[in-house]
Amino acid sequence: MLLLPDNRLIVGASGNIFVTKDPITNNTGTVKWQQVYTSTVASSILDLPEYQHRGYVNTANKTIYPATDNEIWIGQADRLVFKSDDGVNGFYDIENPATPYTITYTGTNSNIPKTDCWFITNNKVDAADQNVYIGIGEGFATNVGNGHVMQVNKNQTNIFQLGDQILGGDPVKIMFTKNGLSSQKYLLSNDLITLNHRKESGVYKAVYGRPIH
Amino acid sequence: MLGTDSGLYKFTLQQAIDAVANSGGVLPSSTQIGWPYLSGVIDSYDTIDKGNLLAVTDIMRYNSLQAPNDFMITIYGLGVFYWDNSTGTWQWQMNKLEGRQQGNNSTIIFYDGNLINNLDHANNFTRILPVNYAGTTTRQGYLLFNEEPLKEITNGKAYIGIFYSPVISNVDIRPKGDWVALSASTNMINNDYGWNTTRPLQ
Repeated sequence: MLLLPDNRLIVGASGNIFVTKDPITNNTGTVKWQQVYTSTVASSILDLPEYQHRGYVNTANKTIYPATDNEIWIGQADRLVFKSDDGVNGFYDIENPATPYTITYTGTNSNIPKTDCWFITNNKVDAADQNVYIGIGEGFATNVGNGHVMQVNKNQTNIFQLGDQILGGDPVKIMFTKNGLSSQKYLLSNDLITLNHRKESGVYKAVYGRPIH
Repeated sequence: MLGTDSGLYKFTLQQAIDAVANSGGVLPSSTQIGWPYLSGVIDSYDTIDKGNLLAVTDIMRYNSLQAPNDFMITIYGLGVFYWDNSTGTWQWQMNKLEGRQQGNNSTIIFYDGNLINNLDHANNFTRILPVNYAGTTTRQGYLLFNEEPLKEITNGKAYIGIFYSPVISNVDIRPKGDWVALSASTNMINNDYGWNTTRPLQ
């Protein structure tokens, strides 16, 4: 963290840099923060707020999943889930394959939340299951902060959310069983355990929550 | 000066050299200058796994010119202590600890006079930072940093990452001890997402 001469505070957290808009000594309980981004489109500064510029600074990788020697998936804090098919370059947003992964990414809007990726894994039990499972810590819009698990096929042609988004939950682990998706389970949250499973109807529901401390 | 999980030590470079040469690196007991145990608290700590709750995580001088031998420390699980060198006593600078609920900024009281019942709350303190009036060397307050940015509460999460306390007075520049968490404005028009909240996609 860094205190500026005018008592505004800069901190690094959640994979990003934030600065207060006012001196910290004016604290009234409602501090205005601004995330710091890199500006990528010079002209956009004329008609867009700065936070619409993509290409965040201080972004951190949270997980890497090497599906094969050449197929590498990465999940990042406050960014998207990216994939490379050559194992070296060409990382792209899994929903926008034409968009290469660079810090100047300006991908299109998406309603599928996939930021703050905690894990990417495959089905540990059923080798025939070619899907990739992604634990997401941040939901979208009104679901900010809500954890959930996504299922993605390797060609990214079929992406959907498994079960409910859980308030304040961070995905911890997905457990695979031999009985297929009907009994697959995953854990959400570091502080509260919420065990989810899929009902026969195909709808995931939280079945119980139990604080562990 | 050295802060460890077994106490605070103040020694000269020569004492350190002598300790290495003569006593296997063990400093003389006279170099331990004290430990800010709180009356009635340490017994409770002794019944639980302390972990690093008592580790000293930061040290700062109180006032280099007027009281060069007084200083303040943060202890991981307890917060800010002030060492009054003239009396040889520790003073706990934690009167109140207020979080702010994420989303509506309502007040969440984590500590208000009863430490023992609040050991599990907002107690991963790592650093204290002095704040002066802008452009001056006059102390205005302090920032107290917590290792964890958010705390799970009954109805969601509360900001606990950074607390602010003003000084007691212009003369007594210890922190007043009413620590209030910095939060994030819920006004999204004038405010990007809070420092520990990820901005959603657009």
